Amino acid sequence: MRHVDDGTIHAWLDEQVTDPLEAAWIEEHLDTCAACAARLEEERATLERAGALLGAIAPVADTSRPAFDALVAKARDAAAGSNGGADGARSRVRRWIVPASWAASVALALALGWAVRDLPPADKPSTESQQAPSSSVEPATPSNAQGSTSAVAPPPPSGDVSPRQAGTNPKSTTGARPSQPSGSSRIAPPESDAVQPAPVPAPAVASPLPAAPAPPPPRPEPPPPSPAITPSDSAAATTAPRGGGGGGRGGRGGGRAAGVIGGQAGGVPAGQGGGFGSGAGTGAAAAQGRLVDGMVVNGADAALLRSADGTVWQPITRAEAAVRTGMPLYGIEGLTPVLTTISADGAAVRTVYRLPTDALLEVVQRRREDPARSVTVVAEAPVVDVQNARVQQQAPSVPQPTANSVNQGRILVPEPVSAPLWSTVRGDVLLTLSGVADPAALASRLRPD
Amino acid sequence: MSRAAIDWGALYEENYPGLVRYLHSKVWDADRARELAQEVFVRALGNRPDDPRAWLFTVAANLARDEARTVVRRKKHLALLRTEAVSAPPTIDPVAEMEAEQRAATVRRALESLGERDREVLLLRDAGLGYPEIAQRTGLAVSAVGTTLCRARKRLVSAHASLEEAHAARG
Repeated sequence: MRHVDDGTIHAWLDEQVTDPLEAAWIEEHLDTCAACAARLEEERATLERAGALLGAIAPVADTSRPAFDALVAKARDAAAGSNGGADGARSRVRRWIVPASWAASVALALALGWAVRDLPPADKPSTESQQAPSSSVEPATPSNAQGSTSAVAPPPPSGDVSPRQAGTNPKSTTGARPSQPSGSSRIAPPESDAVQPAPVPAPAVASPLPAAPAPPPPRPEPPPPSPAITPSDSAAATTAPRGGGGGGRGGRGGGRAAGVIGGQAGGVPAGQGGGFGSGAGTGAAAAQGRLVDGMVVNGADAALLRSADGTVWQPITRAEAAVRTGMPLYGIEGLTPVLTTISADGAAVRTVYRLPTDALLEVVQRRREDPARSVTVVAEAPVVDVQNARVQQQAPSVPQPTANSVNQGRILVPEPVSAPLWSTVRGDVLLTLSGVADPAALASRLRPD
Repeated sequence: MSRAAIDWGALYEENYPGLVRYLHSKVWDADRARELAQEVFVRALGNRPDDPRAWLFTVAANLARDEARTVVRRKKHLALLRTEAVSAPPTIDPVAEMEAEQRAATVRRALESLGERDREVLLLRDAGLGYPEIAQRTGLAVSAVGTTLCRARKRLVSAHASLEEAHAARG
């Protein structure tokens, strides 16, 4: 006999038996089956008890039910807000504005950090500023050079010139005549092996040579005072009263050496005086860009066979020139000579280069063996405050120049008129570069053939 | 039931108490249960579902589930509508009130001792849903709803009796 299960009894009690046939069968069975009838009463009690328990936890009868119309209005407002109403739009904007603001702030911070990362430190000078002095040296004016025998020889970078080789040649110092006592205003720059660059009214242009090696940074520690090389016949100049400063700002080997050299040599005002040991009266010619005794002191724009002063040079092969002069010929590494000439007396060789900028570079070299033309060495020269172009006098006792001192000193050249000069000593060879704005930049590229 | 044939006013009158009871057994806060019930109806009026009763309890269950996480935010969006009638007067017998609270707490504990499915079936039935709707809501077969409901009721009564006995034993 089939009985009614508990689930069906609960469904029948809950009036959830939807099939009329089944409902009729259940009702008939419960009337006839005592066991099922007993279970029916049991389940009914359970159902009622459970209902009572759930009713005990039900909230208080809600007599405060809101009106349906109020719900409809609220639903309408909600729909308007979500369908693009003004309030809804504001709500949507407000919902996104905060995270968007945060995102923008973070992005801005990252962008600023990234941008600042590429900037150089404020206290670190740029490369341009480090090189600037060499190409922006102001020319010494006669007013500040005249009467001044003081020379400001700024320390060039160690790699600008290499007269260390010269320092090893005792020959170059044998002819060197001791300079005047330290009372003279000649100043030896701290760099011992550099040849004093001529003061240059150089335009602020870069070196015309491509891929010219950059000079190394200045040495951190100032070396002891080194002798300066002065014209041998500049005794008059050494006795001349020192002018105010005389020197200019020192740059990378291109510092102004206004009036350095024998500013009064031969009675010529500083800046126009003869340099390089030229005798009195030759300074004026040198200042005008002539060859002085075979030495070019201003070779700017020299013609290939004729210097600016009209001196005619004779073409010669480099091999023959080396034989005739008895000295090694020096050239600029990376450049091919356009013309090699020799002076009339056969003592100087002049090599002309044409730069990519179409400028003519002259390299004049001569042996520095003639005592008359050798430079004077000042051992303990005043130390130059390059930054401020001030001259400080050092100890009065001046040691005598040593054999190497001449090669460690600087050759002080006169104030140029139109083009810069750069002189250096290689062994017993004095080399003078001219014709370009920054010949010092090329000095380090001087190589013997 | 087609969308056009639904009398939402009648549906509201019929289902609001059961929905409140259902929600109350979920959140155990009468006022909050009423707020949620109103929210459910507001949403229903906005969505106009085809099967409104099942939809109402489904949404109510979801709202109750999220209640714990969204209490603060929910209070900003829900506003208890102004009532038209005066609330029932508070109970003046503190002893009776305390005993009622005690009984409710015991039932609540007994209800919470049930399994999730049993409790859900029990609450849905207590809220007035029929077996087919309970089956739809819970995923059970309609024929299994009676059996599940019978078991849940027995377990609830048994659990409550045990709690009462334990309470009586403690004195």
